Amino acid sequence: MQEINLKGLNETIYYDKCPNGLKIYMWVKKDINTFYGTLSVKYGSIFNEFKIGNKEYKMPKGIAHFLEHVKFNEDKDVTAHDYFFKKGSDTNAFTTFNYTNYQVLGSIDAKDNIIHLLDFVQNGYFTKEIVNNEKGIITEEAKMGEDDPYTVMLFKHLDNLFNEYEYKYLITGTPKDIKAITLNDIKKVYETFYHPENMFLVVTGNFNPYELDEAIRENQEKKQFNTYLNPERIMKKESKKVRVENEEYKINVSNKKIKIGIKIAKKNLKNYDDLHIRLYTNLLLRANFGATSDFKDELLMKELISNLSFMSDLFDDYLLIMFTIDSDYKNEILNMFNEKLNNLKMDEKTFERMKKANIASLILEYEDVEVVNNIIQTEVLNYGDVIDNIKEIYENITYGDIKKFINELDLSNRSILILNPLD
Amino acid sequence: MEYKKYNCNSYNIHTIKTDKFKTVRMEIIFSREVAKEEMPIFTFLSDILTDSGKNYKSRRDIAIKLEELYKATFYGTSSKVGNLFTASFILEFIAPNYINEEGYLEEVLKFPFEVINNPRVKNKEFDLTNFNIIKKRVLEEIDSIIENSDRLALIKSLEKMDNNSPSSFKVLGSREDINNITPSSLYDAYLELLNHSNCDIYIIGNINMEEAVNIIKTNFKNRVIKLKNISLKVNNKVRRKAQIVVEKSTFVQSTLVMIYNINNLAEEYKDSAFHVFNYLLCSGGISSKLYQYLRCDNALCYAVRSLYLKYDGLFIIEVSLDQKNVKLAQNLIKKSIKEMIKAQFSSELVEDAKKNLIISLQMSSDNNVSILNNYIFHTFSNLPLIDERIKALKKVEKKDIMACGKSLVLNTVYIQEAGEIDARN
Repeated sequence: MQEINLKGLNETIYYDKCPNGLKIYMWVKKDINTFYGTLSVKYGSIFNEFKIGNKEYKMPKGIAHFLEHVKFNEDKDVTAHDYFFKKGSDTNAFTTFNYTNYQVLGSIDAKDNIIHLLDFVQNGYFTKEIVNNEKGIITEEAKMGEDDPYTVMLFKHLDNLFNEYEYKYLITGTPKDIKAITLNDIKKVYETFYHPENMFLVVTGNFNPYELDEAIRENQEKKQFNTYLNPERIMKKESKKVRVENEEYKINVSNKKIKIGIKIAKKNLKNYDDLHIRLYTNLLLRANFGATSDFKDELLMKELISNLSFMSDLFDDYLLIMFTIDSDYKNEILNMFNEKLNNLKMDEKTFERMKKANIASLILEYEDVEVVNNIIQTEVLNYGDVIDNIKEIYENITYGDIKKFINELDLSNRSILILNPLD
Repeated sequence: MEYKKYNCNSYNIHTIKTDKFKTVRMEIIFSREVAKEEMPIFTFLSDILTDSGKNYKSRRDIAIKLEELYKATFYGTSSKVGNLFTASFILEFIAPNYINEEGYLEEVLKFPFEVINNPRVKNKEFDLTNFNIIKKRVLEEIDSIIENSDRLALIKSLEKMDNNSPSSFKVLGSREDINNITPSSLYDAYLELLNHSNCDIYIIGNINMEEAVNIIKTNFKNRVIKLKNISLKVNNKVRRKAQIVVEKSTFVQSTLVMIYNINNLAEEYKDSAFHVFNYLLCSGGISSKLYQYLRCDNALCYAVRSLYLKYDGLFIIEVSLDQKNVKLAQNLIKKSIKEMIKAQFSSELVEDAKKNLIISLQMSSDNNVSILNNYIFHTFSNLPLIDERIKALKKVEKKDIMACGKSLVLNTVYIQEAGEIDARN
């Protein structure tokens, strides 16, 4: 086992890799009662089409999320919940675009709980009856999403930004997609993707990492897995332009909302790795549109908006920036945003203040078992491993770097979505 | 963990010294009895006081100051628990030992008092621009209730239960309440809140508490009131026959809410046995009766929620589902409660539920907000401290759980019916 020292943060991550390919990351905090284990499978809602060798497969949308639900069944009338209930632990799971995550949170018998987390996820028990019964439950979950205007508007906007990418579709699938899923589909996906090579385990909290590592290795050695088939996601070619530039839509919101989405091809930012694209974009957005920006302040003080939020992330070959603005003044807002987006700026004083604040945040992050677990998951998913010098990376960013990045950002490829309340 | 209380005449400071967390949290809580007409203006006030100040013309200036204080957070919030209304100002900051900057503790601790003591006021009126920003935000928050089917159904069901009961009052109030507030009436409310409300300040974290108390005493004074005792208990009337209310909505799913009074239940059960009862019935998730019947056996829903309002004497069950299944869900909920009264659950399940609740309490001591919340209600209403609650849970028996079930009297069944699937666009 390797001890990874997070430079400047005085924190250690214990890392090991089992012979079957399962990666293990552990972070220990001695003075607490809690432990939190997550097993991530790199299979999410965008993997509906994949190939093994030359053979291509197309699955119904929503299948990753469906599999997450039925995976809790371990045998006839036995579910993982039964075990964890007895142990006094909480178990849950979620599915995103990129991965499926199974969790256990508890305070006693960390080792037994983590081993059972591995056991139930690595147990391919599925029946027709289980699949059919779960359809009703998942359909109700999907309908809850239809009743949530924020879910609807996010996916409506993604649909307008992307032409082909699977990110535009609901993670749960629609009730029609859910109905189409079969037992065979579930088995195929499980056999293909639920392999230790395609999983990683993160455990945070109070436990002995050496004992746990030994127990995990022993558990994995006892299990037989077929050879990993190296499935490959079929990525559709996404054209550079947004699919819809302007649209007005009625939805169950109380006040008008304006969404501005910007799609930037990553190949236009080839001087930067993914980590720096994320860091620079975040700093720039905060400086220009965040709580400390004069632009947001002006919009608020002129009573043109009541709220302004933003997010940005990488979606395969594209960087997306998405703004949500609560405002009745569509034309003024679109003009002012246009002007602002064409003139992004950041002064040195703001840069230094934000950098200092970000470094303080890094120190605070290593406190809560769930927060730390999520940080590790995100780093492993986005960058393949934990980043041991993140503080150093922040410290090394210069004002000149940010100025250069601003000059290289082309923010002209936009999709505007206006959301009006129902009549 | 070291608990201490400092009586500062017109307010109290409660400290919890611990080196378990990197963050220090301070809550300044003004508390009063619930009064329907007062809550909206005090809610407005808790928002505006953290959005501007004499030396901070807008939230931007406050945000810059907080970023300079190593990304501290500061916000105002209001809430209602039973018959108690609180307007709270919350500050979180990095423990000084992580940054080694001389004078940091004093600078960060005096900041919220500087803002609260010096509002952006001229001629006894709040600044109109700041006022209008907050007014718009609060009005939009009131309007946004229609966006969330569960929240809307819960609010409406409580109003249908009894719109004169504090349990149904909204801290945000109505559009009319907000439209009636003026910059001048807001200033009067400011003086009222500051000078005629109870005030308690809570701090948890790894700092020199004596030093912190001195800093607070220097920066927060001139209050003259005597602190009052406030009872949190609301006496909600019991109905002889439950009412059924059906209303139409535009949502895809229907929402069923069943409100029960908790009637004549011995006090000793309220912090222990009732939690076990709720766990076995619903809050225990998939292993609970309601999840078993509604979700696992009949696939009626994704989730069932239960809400135990101890101080309101209410227990609420809420579920979102297809309209055609509402009747079946009602019957299954009633059947489940009957089974709880008849003790149709194993002793083993009871022991598991107790164990799980105890573990949750133990885990809550790893979180500064949970520790503080428990302590706040310990001081407000004698809620036992975490260790005492664990001891009480260990003693719960089957008969106590049955007594909890027996205390439930159905008051209101509220059905928010799904709308027609319309062609919205």
